[in-house]
Amino acid sequence: MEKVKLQIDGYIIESNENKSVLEAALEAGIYIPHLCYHPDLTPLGNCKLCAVEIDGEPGIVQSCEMTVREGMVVHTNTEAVTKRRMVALELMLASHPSDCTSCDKYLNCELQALMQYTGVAHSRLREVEKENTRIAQSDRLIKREMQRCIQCGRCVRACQELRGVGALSINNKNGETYIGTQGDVPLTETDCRFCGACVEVCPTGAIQDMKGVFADNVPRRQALIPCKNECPAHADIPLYIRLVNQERYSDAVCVIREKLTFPHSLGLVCTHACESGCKRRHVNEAIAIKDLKRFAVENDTKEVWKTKVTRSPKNSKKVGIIGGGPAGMTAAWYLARKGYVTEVYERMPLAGGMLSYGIPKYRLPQDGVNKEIEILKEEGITVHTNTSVSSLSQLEEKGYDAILITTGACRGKRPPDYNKPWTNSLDAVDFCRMSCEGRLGEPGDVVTVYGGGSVGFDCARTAKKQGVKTVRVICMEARDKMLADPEEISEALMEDIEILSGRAIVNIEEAQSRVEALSLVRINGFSFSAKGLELDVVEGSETRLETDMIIFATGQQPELDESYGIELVRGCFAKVDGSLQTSKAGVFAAGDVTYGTKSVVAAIASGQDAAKEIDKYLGGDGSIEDIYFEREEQQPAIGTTDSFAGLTRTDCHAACDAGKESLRCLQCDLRLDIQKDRNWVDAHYKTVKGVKV
Amino acid sequence: MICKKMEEKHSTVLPVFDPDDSSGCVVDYCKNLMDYARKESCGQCVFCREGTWQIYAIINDITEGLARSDDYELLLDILLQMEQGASCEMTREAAGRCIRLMREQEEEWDKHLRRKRCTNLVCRCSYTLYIDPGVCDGCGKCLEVVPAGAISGGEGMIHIINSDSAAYAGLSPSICPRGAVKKAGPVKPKLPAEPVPAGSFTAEEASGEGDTSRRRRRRG
Repeated sequence: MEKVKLQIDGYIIESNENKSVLEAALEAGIYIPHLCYHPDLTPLGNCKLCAVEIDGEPGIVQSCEMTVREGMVVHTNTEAVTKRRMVALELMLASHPSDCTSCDKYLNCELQALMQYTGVAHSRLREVEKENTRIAQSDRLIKREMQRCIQCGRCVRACQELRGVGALSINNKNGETYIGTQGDVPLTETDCRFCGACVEVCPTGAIQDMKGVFADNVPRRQALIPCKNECPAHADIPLYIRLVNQERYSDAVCVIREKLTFPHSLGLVCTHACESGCKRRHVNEAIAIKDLKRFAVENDTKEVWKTKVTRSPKNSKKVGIIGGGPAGMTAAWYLARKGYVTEVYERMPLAGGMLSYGIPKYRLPQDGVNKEIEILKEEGITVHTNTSVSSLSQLEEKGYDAILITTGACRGKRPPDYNKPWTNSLDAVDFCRMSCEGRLGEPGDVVTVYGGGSVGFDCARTAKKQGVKTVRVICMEARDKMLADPEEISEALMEDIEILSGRAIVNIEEAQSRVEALSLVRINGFSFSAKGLELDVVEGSETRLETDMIIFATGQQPELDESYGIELVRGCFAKVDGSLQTSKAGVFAAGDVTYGTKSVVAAIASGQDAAKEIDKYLGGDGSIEDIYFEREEQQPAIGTTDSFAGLTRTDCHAACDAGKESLRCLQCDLRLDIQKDRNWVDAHYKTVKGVKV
Repeated sequence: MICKKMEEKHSTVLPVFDPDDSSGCVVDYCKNLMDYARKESCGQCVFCREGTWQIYAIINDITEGLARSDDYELLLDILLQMEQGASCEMTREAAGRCIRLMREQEEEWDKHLRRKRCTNLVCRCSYTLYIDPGVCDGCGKCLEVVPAGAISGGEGMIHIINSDSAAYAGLSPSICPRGAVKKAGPVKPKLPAEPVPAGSFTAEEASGEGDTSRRRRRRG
């Protein structure tokens, strides 16, 4: 591309020959006010703010519409130009509300910045009130305050040019023009793909994101992709969904593998925080992200990611990891890649932790877990199974340079009054383990599960599958507040499991160390105070239920005690600092043992963090990032799809329609590719990149 | 240039001004011209979309007697930018015509702006409406078409317009089929204070030389 030299305000600057005068000036650090111009959109020349005078051109011209020429002499600040700009801005402000401070775009508004730059205020002109600005209505994703619209047309162009959608237009009604949807219908009835491009380019507060759609406690670029932000491991979800849509399953798995060590297991049992963040949830239902991940993994025939893994040279430093669950195995894998000698101690016959001994086999078959563990072990991890480590001192003479404790939270936690050794009561974690080991005897005809979380339902459904006639789940939460996945609950109901929600056990009748019956009350609510659990009991609601077995699914905690050799918090949790190091130098802890029960994916994320910290501690750079899929430049155009807003979720259980489901994605990540216009106060405009004449 | 309204036709379909029309007013014409242009605007360029609205709003204020002291200069200020900067021929032409007519007929504009007068009593600021007691026959037809309270009087009585009424601004001479509703400029006719039987009121009866009220000039 040819370069041309031109003179702007007494500076000789250089520019590519196809640039506009405005672009050339802005790039060179010479600020020219502009509003309808946006670096990603075709210039329109309708705001008149980028007015300049050019020697040899009659009158004032718009710099966004003039292409640079060799030897051009441009003046951006003559009296006539300033006048043109002032009047244009005054006119825009005449129909724009003056209540800047009550606008959510306050201090973030390009119009406000221009008022400050030019010194123009709402002043000598008549206030003009337009009626049609009230037509536009907000929906659950996009807030439209069209009285703040200055009709720069950026949103219309972004929708049309960038996205190829064309849901917005300049409309005319009763002699007034305004930005609206074609036919003034709600966005859900247009071709809108809810990509947020219009919000991104709007210079004022006219089109904004609805509050609550994006998290406000993280950096903006992170918050704009809610699924990725909510995922504890921050997997690049929009990208792998797009790749699934293109039937590029191996590439999708590359993206997944960059962040997740047990992708297939997660595809089956992940608690999918991503889906609770999914922006599509505000349109109708979240994308079935978990299922799409499983589908990608199951259809990845090439396993390209394995050829892309980068490895540091082997070193002789040794890391011992206690506990072969998701956190421990993840840390081990990343550390092995970083060249460390990595050994994992697992007390059970199989590694995998809760994947092998917690989650019932009907949800997560053991074969799959074993396969994923084998894949990780290929990196050179030694796993000592059937090896219990009950105290750090056991590992001391083995000469580890660092030790990581990832022993999880494997002990049941009951309400204090029920801590009795009844022969027919079990903690959920033990019940699940026994079931996984295949040594669950005959539970009896009636099994009662106390606790309505995921683990409670795992127990109840396991019991039902064992042939128990009556299985009931008792939980204190009301039906709509239950903690288990709604999908689990509805499947339990289909399996004829009784759910007694909004109820609490107030008494347990016992005889010969056996639980005989339970007294239940209905409750309106409950709370935990200094005195312990407080119930809001419905009077006269007490009932008595007989049971052959009771399972307490009321929580889990780590099994650590003082003899372990590190400082503990809350009785049994490992105390760690910001870098996951325990009270003992070189000893780290991660996963459930530090924060209590969360999820598999949280444990994986914690294991990654531990790997970073241990690497740093052992003199490495602490970087475990790896790219298995080279990012391609994304096509900004997404086009239209018939009745996009109405597309409903299809779960991919049996004959998975992954193409159809992945199409529903709002592709939030595309918004990050839209450039941000620099404000005039930006440091970029402090020095001119050119030669003073 | 972005606007489709560049075709010559738009400058020719703009309303035409006839300086010899004794029932016309240059200020009123400019207002209508801008009203036409603002409704035709495609909404893209700021001078057309906002400029025409602003000019219309200012001239409308002038015709209603709500002019501000610097409105003449303000109009020219904006119109000049519109004439040179608008993206379409329609708005450039409309703005140019306004500028020409403001300069050519500065006296008439000045009359509107400073004295709230309109030579041909076209603009609202320049006249009050009254019912000519010599024409009104008390038919009551006007009462049927105006909001309650705007006009008092009964059948067979001379009606009287209540200029304090909130509905006054909405009245026009066309409400009387006999043409009894008339415009009064600075010189106000003598009218009965209360409705009296039709045909019973004569101007001489109530008139006295000194009673003719003249509007006080606001500014010199």
